Amino acid sequence: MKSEPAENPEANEIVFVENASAAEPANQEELGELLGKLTPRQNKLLTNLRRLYHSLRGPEDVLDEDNYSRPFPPQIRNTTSNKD
Amino acid sequence: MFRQLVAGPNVTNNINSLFTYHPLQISAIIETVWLNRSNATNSQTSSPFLPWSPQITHPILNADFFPGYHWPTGGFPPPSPLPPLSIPHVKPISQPGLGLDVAPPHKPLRSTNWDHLIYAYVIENTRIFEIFSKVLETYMFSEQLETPTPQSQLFWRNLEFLIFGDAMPSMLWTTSSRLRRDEIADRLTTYYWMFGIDLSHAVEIAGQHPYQKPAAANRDFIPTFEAFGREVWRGIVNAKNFSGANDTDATVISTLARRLYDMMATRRINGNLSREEFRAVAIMSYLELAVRYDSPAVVDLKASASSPEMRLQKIAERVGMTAHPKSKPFFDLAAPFSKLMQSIETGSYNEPWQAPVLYSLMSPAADIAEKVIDQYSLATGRDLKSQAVSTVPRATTSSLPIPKRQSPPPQLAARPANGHGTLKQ
Repeated sequence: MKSEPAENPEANEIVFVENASAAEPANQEELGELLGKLTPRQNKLLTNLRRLYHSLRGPEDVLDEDNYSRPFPPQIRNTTSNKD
Repeated sequence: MFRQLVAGPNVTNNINSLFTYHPLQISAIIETVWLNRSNATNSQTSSPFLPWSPQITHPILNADFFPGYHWPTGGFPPPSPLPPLSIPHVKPISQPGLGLDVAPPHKPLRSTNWDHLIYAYVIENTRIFEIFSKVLETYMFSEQLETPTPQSQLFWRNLEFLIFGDAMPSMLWTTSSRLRRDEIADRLTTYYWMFGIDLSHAVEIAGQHPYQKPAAANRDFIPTFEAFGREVWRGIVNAKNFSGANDTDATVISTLARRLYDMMATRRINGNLSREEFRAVAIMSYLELAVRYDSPAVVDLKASASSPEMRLQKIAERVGMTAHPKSKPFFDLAAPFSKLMQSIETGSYNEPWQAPVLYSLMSPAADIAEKVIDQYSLATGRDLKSQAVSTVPRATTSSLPIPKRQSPPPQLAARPANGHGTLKQ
């Protein structure tokens, strides 16, 4: 059976619209990936993951801040520079 | 589990108070954390086990520290109670990770969560369980160590009652019985079941704790995870590159993530192994907290240090043992590995469009994946940052001559469709 796209402009239009709606998100994702950006769907997933990570947070970040580090020598102030 | 319980403002006070609670209060905490778990229902991997009800736990959680009365001031007016050992004292119900409203009727404000079993496996590899067991034994049977302070004594008492003692039958985290008496062996079995691997010191303890290896175990976990880690690392490298070829393959990452997801989900159907995981994670987090800072137990053992692995090593030396030489990467690996495994189990990377979250710039999931890859390589010595190379065995013999095609004997006719040859008449 032969297709007659030129003689049926309405059918062509429908095909065109369907193709556009199917291809648009994929193009967005590909473009976003190329630019290193996340799509809205991926950002939504990331929000869920952030909530998961928060529920699993532990105290180590706070406890690791200790006073064992050897201090740097204090800054030497130049007292002669103010005399000018 | 206890890591999440104490995380919040004034962490040190929260942990010091936790170590001085009555064992019954810690039991009530355990039951309440399970009660308020985020995956209690509506999942094929939810566990049906019922914890103690809030009517039982709330009065216990809301109780003050109370060692007894100060009788020299007793008589009339009524005797005054003694002050708590840890000042300021945090009531169990006020622990930030419990998720309960401090005001009556103590409604749950949010759900609770705890680490993945991989956390317990990684922490136990430092030999922390054996070291603390040996210290407790040394305290009990000798005066080789200095007498611990009252605060430290309460810590060791809780350890003996709740972790090394016979379990309370009504508690949900009781996973030992007359059928499975040896908890260490049970834990080794669970690790093998879920990850298809043993502890690094399993050979040393297997003699005292013979354990079973289930036939249906996730033996492919480590090869699959390592392939997953390598692919994610390719993604992380390429996300930071602005020129050259990009060999990141989101489809492969999602396929491997799905494989890991299925392995875990299959073992967890109807909440199987949930309580075993809960107990293992709770025990290891309790021990880890003790070496995460200069806790009373650490100070009493003269093991103060600037990092958990150094504290653990100093404690081990006090009782003639040694910690795992790679305890540092183990401690650094445990928490991010737990987060990564839980996110895999939520199905977050099962589709190719989801995989870029694991390696995109500025993504917290990528930070966690990178930490896991870094520390896993340091801890195991297997480099996940190099591409996998598969060797194909080469032929060692010379090629044989092509055999000559022999014509069929003349008396045999072509075989009919039924496969039986017929002889020519």
